[in-house]
Amino acid sequence: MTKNIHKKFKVMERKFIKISICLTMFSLMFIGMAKAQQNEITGIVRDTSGKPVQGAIILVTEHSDTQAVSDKDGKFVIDGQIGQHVEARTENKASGKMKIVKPDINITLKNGTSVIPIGFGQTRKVDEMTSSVGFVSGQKLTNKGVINPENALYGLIPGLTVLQNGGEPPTNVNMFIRGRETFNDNSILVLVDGFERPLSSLSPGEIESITVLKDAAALAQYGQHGANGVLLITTKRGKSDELQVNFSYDQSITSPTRLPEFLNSGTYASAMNEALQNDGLAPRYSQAEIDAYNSGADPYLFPNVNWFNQVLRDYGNRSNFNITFNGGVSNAHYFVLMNYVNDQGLFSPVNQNDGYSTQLKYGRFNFRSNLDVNLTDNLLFQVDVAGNVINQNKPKGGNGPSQIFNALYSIPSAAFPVKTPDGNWGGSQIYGNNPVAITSSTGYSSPNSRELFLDGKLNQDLNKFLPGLSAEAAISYNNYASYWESKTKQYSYEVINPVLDNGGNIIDTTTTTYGEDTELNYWSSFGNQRRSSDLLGKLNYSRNFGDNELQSMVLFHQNSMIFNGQNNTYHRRNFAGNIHYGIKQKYYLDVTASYSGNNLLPKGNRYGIFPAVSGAWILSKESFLANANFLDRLKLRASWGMTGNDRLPTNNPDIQAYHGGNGYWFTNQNNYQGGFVEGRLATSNLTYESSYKTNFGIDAYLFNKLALNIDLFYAKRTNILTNTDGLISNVLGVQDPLSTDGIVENKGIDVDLLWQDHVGSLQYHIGGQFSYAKNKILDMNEAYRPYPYLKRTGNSIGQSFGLQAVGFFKDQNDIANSSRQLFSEVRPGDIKYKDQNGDGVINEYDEVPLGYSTGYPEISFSANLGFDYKGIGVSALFQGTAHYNAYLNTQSVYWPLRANNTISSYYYNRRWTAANAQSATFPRLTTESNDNNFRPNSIWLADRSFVKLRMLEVSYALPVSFIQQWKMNSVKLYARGMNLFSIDNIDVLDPEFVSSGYPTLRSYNLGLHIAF
Amino acid sequence: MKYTIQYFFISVAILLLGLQGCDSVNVGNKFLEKPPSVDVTKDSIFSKAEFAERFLWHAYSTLPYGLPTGWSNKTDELGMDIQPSLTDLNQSYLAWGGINQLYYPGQYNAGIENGSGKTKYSYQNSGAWGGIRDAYIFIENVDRVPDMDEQTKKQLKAEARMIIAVHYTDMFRNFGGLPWVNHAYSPNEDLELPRLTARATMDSIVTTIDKAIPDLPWKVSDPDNWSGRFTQAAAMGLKVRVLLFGASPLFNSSKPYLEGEAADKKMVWFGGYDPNLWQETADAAKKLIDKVEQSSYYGLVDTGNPREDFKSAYYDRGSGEVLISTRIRYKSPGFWSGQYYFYQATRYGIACTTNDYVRMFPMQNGLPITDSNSGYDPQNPFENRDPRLYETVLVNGDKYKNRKAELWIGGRERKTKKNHLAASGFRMRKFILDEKSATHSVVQWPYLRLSEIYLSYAEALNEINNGPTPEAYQYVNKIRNRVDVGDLQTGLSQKEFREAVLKERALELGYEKVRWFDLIRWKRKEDFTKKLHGLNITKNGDGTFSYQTFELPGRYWQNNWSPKWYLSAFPPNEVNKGYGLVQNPGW
Repeated sequence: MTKNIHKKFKVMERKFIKISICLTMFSLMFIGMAKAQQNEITGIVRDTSGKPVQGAIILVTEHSDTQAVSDKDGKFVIDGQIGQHVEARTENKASGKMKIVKPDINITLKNGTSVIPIGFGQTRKVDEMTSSVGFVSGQKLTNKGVINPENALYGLIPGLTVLQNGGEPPTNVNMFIRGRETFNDNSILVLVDGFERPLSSLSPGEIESITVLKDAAALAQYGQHGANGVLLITTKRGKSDELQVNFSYDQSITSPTRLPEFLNSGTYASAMNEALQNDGLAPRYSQAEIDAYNSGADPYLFPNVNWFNQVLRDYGNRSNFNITFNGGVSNAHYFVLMNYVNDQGLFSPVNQNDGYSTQLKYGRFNFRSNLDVNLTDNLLFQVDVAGNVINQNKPKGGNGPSQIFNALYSIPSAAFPVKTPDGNWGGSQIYGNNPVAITSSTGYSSPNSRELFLDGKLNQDLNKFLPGLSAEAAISYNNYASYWESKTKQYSYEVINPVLDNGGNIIDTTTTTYGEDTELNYWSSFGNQRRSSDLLGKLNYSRNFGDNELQSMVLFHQNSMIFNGQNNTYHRRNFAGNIHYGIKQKYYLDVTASYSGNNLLPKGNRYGIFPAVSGAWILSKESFLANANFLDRLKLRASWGMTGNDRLPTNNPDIQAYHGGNGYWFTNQNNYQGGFVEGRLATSNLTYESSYKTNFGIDAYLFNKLALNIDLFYAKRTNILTNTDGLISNVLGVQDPLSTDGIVENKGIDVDLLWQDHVGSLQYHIGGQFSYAKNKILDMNEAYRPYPYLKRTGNSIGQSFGLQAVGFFKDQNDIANSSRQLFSEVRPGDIKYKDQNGDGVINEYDEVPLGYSTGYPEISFSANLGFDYKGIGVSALFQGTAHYNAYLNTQSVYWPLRANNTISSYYYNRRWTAANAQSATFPRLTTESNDNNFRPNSIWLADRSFVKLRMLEVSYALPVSFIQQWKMNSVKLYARGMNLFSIDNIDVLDPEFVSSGYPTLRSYNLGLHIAF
Repeated sequence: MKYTIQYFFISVAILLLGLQGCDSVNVGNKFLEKPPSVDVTKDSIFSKAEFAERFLWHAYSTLPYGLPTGWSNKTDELGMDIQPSLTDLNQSYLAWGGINQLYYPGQYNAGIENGSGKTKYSYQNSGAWGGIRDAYIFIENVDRVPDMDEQTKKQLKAEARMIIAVHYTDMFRNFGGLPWVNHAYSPNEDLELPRLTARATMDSIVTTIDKAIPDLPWKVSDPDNWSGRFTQAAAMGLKVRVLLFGASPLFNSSKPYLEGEAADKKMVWFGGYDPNLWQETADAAKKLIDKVEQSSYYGLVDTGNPREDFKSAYYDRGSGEVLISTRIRYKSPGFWSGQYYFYQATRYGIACTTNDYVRMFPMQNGLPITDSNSGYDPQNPFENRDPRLYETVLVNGDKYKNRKAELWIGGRERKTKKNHLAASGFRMRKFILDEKSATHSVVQWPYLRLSEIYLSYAEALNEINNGPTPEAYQYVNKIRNRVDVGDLQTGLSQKEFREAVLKERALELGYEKVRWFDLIRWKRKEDFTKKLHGLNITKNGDGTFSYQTFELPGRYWQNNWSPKWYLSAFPPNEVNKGYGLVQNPGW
């Protein structure tokens, strides 16, 4: 059966690759081989008042990788040809665009004229926007040296918080738009070219831009599916009539940002003895044994193994090849991308077996072919084919890396040698897992996956019938499947036992072998599958009436997503419309509404109406501000509206389910009578979450240098599904239904600042972003709590609770004179807690809110700075968070020795002993489970704020005059570092990843980018 | 070229539409219909006799089981410990269980009932409310099952009523008056369920049982396949248990055991002494006993082999002595199985019998060991004793694992003084047997045995007549004679006879969750506050043993007794939901 599936899959895979190659080849057919003569175009950039603008980025639309920057007189030189277009942009979103008609041109920069996508194929000039959106162009993603575009988003867009999540490729991130607004599924809607798809399925090079929709005015059009915020990804399309080829190659080495250090075997042995003594137990190691560990004379009986050094090499490496073709003929344009990345992980040794490696490898091939064809003069047809093929390799079947790290984070240096003198794997019966053996001698698994995206769009201009009218239709199909193969085996290990004489001296050793070496064992399975399809129809109507302009649309969209598993089919349907009206280019008003429904909600209750209204006023265009010269632009925005979240925390809560349950053993034989049991009671009036969002914004551009955006928001979300066990009696006798009683409010601010200027030929910019989002639970049907401070209601979602530590018990006297702590027997050096309610005992009722949530930060901020001097560029990006906590319960690092774990030197140096009772920050060593110390309290709930240098780049663009002899348009060399350092309070582990697992990585990249 | 392009695009469009077609483009309202699910509905369950029965079998699975066996709320009551450790019969050394964490150190308080599964009876976690609801759903729906005859429906409904009655009996004995659920509540219904008085609660239980009695078969007709189902005898027996508890002084008294709101509202006592309750108890018992004696199926297991008979009486399935048995498996899966970890729990310290209990067992001749004529030899204390001692407690020198039990300090059963297996010098033997023959054997919990009914009858007669009647003696001696222990001394006063019966119940029904309720219904403060003992046995050089009693670790309530301990606290979370639950006095 599995073989068959495997075969089928292989056939599918071949077909899939064939189809993609065909389509790609077909697109390449359009590539005109002739290359037109490039001319030097010169020009001057001016702002609307006629002043020259310095620091504007100039590019030729048709080959956007050729760039120039205007000098202090606004002058620039760029390669281009008659008939192409020159665009000029500044970082503050002012832009201008002109067709080249002669070799020197004048460009006037208009503030707020750059156009950004706002969903459903609509675009809007920044100046005319009435909603709150964030925007980043694709260029800013490609200079981040990452293979997953999600990792390029750290600190790029105010209001979008992106957090790293471990280092094992593809390193998916956690994303939040304006924090959390629900205690259920808060995940944001990610749309690629209008259809729901994972961002991580793309490569950074195919992304034209990313828009983040934040307020109701921007989100209402998504109806029930928009309340958590939307990330709109637009992919690149062909623009030029001639072929442009961009090639880049990036080679990087990766290394762990932080790895904990554990004690050497001698110190471990004495720490163990100290812990046992603290527990009132007999020591495990004699002084002679400790000396033997310290001397290292007998590495087999008294080993001292640094397991991290044995299993991890210093560096992994990664290559990234990217090639794009962009071009076309008069009525057809294409953009084709192929991207290949290959990542080799940190494990070592991995080549001890013939024929296979057990390295952690991640290989991904991405392709995209976006074609635009004008079938007739007013009918545009677009076909996009994209997808990826991922092949991975991991040590050991299933959860190889996590098992290795679990062993690394638990096995003491003194446990056993890597190998015994006979060359067999060392081991012990307490610690079955020899980390080196699991890494190299348990086989491997290879998870593979394929993903395909197909889009077709038609756009018919209907000017003939009504000027300004056009119609669109689109369909899309997406398919993803993963397949696992494993070849695993087991290893045997040897335990060395000392033979003692009467005096307790070691006179000989014997060995015992456990386990057995087996042959590779094959195993395979399907992983996940999903497929989805979309159908979209849309009418647009845009007209100008004198001073007034109108843009409007109505659309119908339906989407079907099917994942494997029961109750995993999602159908959604949306009717939406938008009217955008502008008067005198000063006053803008938007009205948006959606009528949307899905199949998750009960019949008759599936649809909801989501309206929004928003307006903008460009003050700087008013006559009373005409004299304020420093004020280049000032705009006020306001919006109010409603949007929904249809992501339910469980399947079908509105349906009363019954299922198989415990039966009974009546018979006098071993088969029993099966049972049926009633499931959780059905939720009545099940509905979507409604989010009412208000937003005020200011966009300003000052002194021709400083761009400033500020958004203030307030949102209130109702109808959040929440438990009712706090309200309904247990007497009911069945799991209580969920109710839609939950209410959460969320408020905060997003700030975006950018200063851009020059000193002579030195262009520089410095910018900063700041986001603050604070939510508060107003209602969650909370159960009765005997003390008000125990209440979760009124706090933020995920607020940490714990006991307030007031120090460590000094001695038995101190214990006798303090409140009784009811978790476990306390001894000197154990944590002493504050009695919050004064009832004389310390128990769960003394837990108070401590710090913030461990799940997400309330504050995130970033700073970016850079300069460019005659082709030499330096840029840097910092990202940080605050109001964010971590629960430090990582085995061995923070919670050492218990359950046979080892101990970090970090803990050891800070532990309580009678001698350093004053300076200790961690409790005494213990081998017991010690529920008193190891529970949520102020010692383990640590401040997780950090500032990280996410990216530092030094680049050099070769002079155009020099490279032209090889027919190249631009050549850029660069060196980059990612995640170079972090400033935080966690010290031993990455603040974003305090668990035991594959570590987060830092990378050093060298790369080359060539455009023909 | 141009045509090629157009054909290409047209074919791509067709391909895309084709792929779309795989997911059938629904343009109408059908698009948002949920795909069919395989989940079962109430209608499908009650459309077929087999499915409907399975609903009832699930309700059976909620019945209480008296040993800690698994990680579910129901099977891990007291957090791996056993309720007899709260009485004078047994001492627990299990550090992490509820006995040593909550009860011995006096940490138990109402708040504990909110979350902990380590209390002796959890209002929220026991699963009783779920069982009651299941039973009502069954009763309310079974009539519409098409392929089931009326007689079967009646019988199954009566069985469902018994499930309700058993759960309420246990809650009644732990809490007193209770909210009375009389149907399966729908989610939108108002859950106003005030706590009834203790008397009304008892009456409701009795009414439920009375309703079930006529529809139940006297005995299970096919015990090989269906032993464990409720019978008429089971129902009549449960009624005796409920009435006896109600007739006893805890509730049936001229004053409450403790003042408080619940006492004012008569939720924890009957509001006065009613001697008729003893008569009702005796009548109910007599009714059952008469019917037992007229038919042949039920009776004490008595084959003339006292030890084996006594073991068989509680251990073996389908005997005529067990009136109600509950099960969680067919066989226990092995010593270290997490699905039946009772045996392991005994090694962690839950099974250390007190010397005080051991001393309660008389000599084989029936005389107490304190009687100078009994023949008791302090140098050979375990010789010629009531055979029930050997089957209830593992004592030094008794046969065990094909050898002799070694309970001296250093012996195989007590390698060190503090060895949790037998830290009191004894180990429970009931249910454990010799470990080896218990594992992989048939598992049942003897919830109610006929011997209890005999003793309850004797006890009630003694109260009605202000002293023992010959019939009262007859039924106590019936129990004793089955194990060849001599008759009870005659001429006892009412008080002496009462003590004798309570002791007999301890000897006969030890570790079967009877003693605790005997102690509280008679408000036996002195049995809670007395010091308890273990026995250190040392083996002398010449092979003889010396015996030294020692005081067992103390319990908080021995020095700080309060009558509040008689009944459990309700979880404050439930009290605060405001549906009418009044907290028990003292909590």
